[in-house]
Amino acid sequence: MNAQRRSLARVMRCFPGAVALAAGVFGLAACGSSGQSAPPPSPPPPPPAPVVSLPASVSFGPVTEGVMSAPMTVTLTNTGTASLTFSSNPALSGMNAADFAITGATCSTASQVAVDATCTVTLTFTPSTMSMETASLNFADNATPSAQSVALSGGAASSTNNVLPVQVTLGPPGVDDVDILFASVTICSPGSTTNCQTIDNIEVDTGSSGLRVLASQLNIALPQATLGGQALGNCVQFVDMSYAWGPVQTGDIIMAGEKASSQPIQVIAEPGFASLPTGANGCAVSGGTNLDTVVAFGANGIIGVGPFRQDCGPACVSSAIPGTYYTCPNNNCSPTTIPLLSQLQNPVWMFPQDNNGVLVSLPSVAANGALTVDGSLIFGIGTQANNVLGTAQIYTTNDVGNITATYKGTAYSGSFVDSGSNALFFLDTLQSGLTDCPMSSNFYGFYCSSGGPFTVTNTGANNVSGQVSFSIVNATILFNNNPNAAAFSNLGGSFPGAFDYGLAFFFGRNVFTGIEGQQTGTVTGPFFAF
Amino acid sequence: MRIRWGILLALSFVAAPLWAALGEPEQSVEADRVRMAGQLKRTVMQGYTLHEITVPGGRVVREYVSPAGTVFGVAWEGPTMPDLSQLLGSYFSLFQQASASPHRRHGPLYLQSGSLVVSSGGHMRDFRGFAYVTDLIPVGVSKDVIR
Repeated sequence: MNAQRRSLARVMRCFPGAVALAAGVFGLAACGSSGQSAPPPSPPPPPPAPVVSLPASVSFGPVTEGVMSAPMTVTLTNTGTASLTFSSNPALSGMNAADFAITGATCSTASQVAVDATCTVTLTFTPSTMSMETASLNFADNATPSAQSVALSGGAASSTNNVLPVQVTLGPPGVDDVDILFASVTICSPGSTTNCQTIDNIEVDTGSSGLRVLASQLNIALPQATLGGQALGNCVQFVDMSYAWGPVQTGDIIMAGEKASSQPIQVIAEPGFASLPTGANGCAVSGGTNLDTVVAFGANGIIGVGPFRQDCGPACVSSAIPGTYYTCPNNNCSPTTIPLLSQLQNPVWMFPQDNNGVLVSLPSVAANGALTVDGSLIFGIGTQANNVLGTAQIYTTNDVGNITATYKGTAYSGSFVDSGSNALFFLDTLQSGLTDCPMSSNFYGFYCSSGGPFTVTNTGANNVSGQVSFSIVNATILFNNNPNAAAFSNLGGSFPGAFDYGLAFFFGRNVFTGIEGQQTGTVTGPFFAF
Repeated sequence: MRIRWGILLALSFVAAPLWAALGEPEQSVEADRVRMAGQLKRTVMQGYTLHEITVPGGRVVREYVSPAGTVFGVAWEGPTMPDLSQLLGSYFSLFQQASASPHRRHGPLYLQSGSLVVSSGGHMRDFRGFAYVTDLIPVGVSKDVIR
């Protein structure tokens, strides 16, 4: 690639146009037949030329659908050494160009822009849809290259209530976990406004997709989902080898003012359903824990609002994968392939609006932790005034949801952001310089020494990079000094070879999770932004 | 005939595990491939041999074999958890005891007990992990190759 670029540069230097411009200083020797001739004694001063300086992008804040925004002005500056002339007037192009308008411009073919002078283009945006819209503003002139553009984006404001209150607490009675985020979720029988139930203590998980509830906490009857006429069962496995099993039932999922209609929901440990599949094609992970009670699960259920539309996705369309979906004729279950829309869905992308991702917004907590923390799960990204990216950077993920974290020169490509992990899990004792809590202690699994700040560079698949910095405090100190606290921003643990930015990372940050295939400005998910 | 064949199979199960596992000999890898209905790729590396089994549905299991012919490490990635009782073999009970310790950790699993190291992490759609026995790693080979 580099070699190709170098040779291209050589050709460009000898292009007739370049020769003409350079001839006054160089003579023709540099582009003569002998490429090996001696270099000129000093670099030539560049010929006078205009240079265009423009903002890369302009973003209109959320605007009510069908209503014209306040005008925004794009300023062009000629930072070159010769006057700039336009070969055509500034113009709009792109997918949603019709919703943007140029309402005034001093940049035009009618006038030149002198050296160090500016001209402007004034734009408005009138959204015709509820999704993010994009276009570009194009200039054509005598600079090199002769075309420039500014990316335009804008979103219609949804007037829907998109804020779901969330809390970090010790969880339902008997659980006593830390750094787990909970919300209340309403489930209705499909289409009903009366056969509904709001279930509290549902864990908010940006590391999975789909709604799962313990059957013991669900008091309303929901219809059983079927596939090819057979009852459908779902298995979920977690990385700590725990697993949960139950039927897929159908319900409406309501959070704040948002509603996902007729969604597949996993109902865990439903007494009347086929028993847990075991063995080679089973759901059970040998040596793992069956999460068939509220205390084992640590919650009344889990709402997966992660970077993917479905829990399993395309892999389960083409293969019957043990540990995912099962059809259960006569309560005899075997793994099945399953179309995407029959799988558990991240409910957010099924909302009619605010459906491109979520923002988890939690306040900072003191260094010694907090008893509880109140925050918000906000639906949509850049769709309302309360969910704009602001200074957050978008890091797109690879096809399985990972970004690369680089620490002390080593890149860890299997890194990710996950509110369902309850600490900053990263590296091992050799790589971090921290020590593990001993297996005999109550704090086993966490780091038992203090250290940091750890400064890490995260890089997305889009090559966007940014630094984060965090410190770790000895878990013994945290838990002993504040034994009833549910929230810690500085709790850490080993995870060799990667960074898992768990809930501890979220405090005092706006953390966005963009859903695959959904647009946020010019970016398509999946991504994390912070 | 069928019955007798079944008895023979049962006897061979008792005699030696039919899957490759930590501490087992290299010959078990092929049996593992058959059991997983996967495709096996064998690559000679500096100081060890890498056997990579690709299973339909997207799981990949890597087994690391020493010049002495012993599986000293295993690693996996895929959409679901592999059966660690098979991959860890005789080390599985040690792993179970250690992972059963009471803790508040929810996230990737990591454990170091004696010479056994196990890491199981990732998230939905991307389960990945590794296990190795430090005493079995050949001299000159880094533990970091087991991923």
